[in-house]
Amino acid sequence: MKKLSAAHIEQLYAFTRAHFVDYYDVQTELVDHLANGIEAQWTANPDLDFEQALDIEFKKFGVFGFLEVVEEREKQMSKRYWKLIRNEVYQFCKIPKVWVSMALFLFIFTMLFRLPYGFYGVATFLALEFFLYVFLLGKRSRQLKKNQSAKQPLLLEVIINRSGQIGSFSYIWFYQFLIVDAQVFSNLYVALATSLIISLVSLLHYIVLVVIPKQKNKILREVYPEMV
Amino acid sequence: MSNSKLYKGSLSTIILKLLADEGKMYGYEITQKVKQLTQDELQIKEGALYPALHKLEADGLLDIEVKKVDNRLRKYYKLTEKGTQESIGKLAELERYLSTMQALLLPKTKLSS
Repeated sequence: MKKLSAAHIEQLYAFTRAHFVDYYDVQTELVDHLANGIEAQWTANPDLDFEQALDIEFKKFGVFGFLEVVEEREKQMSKRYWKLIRNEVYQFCKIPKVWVSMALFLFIFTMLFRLPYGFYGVATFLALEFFLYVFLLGKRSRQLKKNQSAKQPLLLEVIINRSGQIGSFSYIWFYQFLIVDAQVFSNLYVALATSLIISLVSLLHYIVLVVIPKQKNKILREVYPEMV
Repeated sequence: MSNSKLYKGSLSTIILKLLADEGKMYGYEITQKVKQLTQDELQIKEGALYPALHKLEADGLLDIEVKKVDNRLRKYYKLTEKGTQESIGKLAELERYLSTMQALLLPKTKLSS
């Protein structure tokens, strides 16, 4: 039976990349599928050209090509990523890490409700957090591009490096915080609710920017044991 | 997936049943097995198969195993314990559906005494 050569396999990887499949794990599965299809065609017709056989196999994916496969995979991997975040958030609700959560909450609440210029302290804290977020995200994005020239990234690796792209929405309320009158925080309930939101979002940022990236290699080894 | 919309809702059940019978399979193998078992009557479209497999995997019903075969990597799917339970449930559900449809479409004729 006529088999595909290593050069053909490289061609198939290039083909998937050219059809907007950017992740090595998804490419690998599609490459094997296309290769099986081409070899099956060669069994029936050994003289068939590689490109022709590839074209026939690709058409079987329908008018959207690999798009549906990639989109569904991204959706499922994002779910997996959120599960990782949820597990970490849970850790911050349990002893011993719950003390960190409570200390953060009390720190923000005391600044907002008790200290005369505490509002400005919290605003500075948030600004620092924002700059740190932008800095780390930029650094990881550059790293990813650098590595990409050597090896295609895995989908979950991209999601972790982009911190699940949660930054944009988690900062929407931050601008509102800056435009409100500091006096509103003299109200106990407003101060409590604001402190709770700030603590939660800050913890979320800490998890996606520090905790999960630190465990990246371990997570990737679990998800892709043979590819890392 | 081919021919009829009726098959679409059953894709996960078909995958689970095949994996329960065969142990572990890879994507291309699943498409060929379905073709063979149904004598070409049913052809699973690649654009539907992989999203379904990835969803089942994310739901914890399938486990994966990657092996080097020839000069490429091959991803095999197999049922997890949860997947085995789910396949039993789904098959029972499908059987109930079939018998209900049969009762509706082919009602038994009563013999008058």
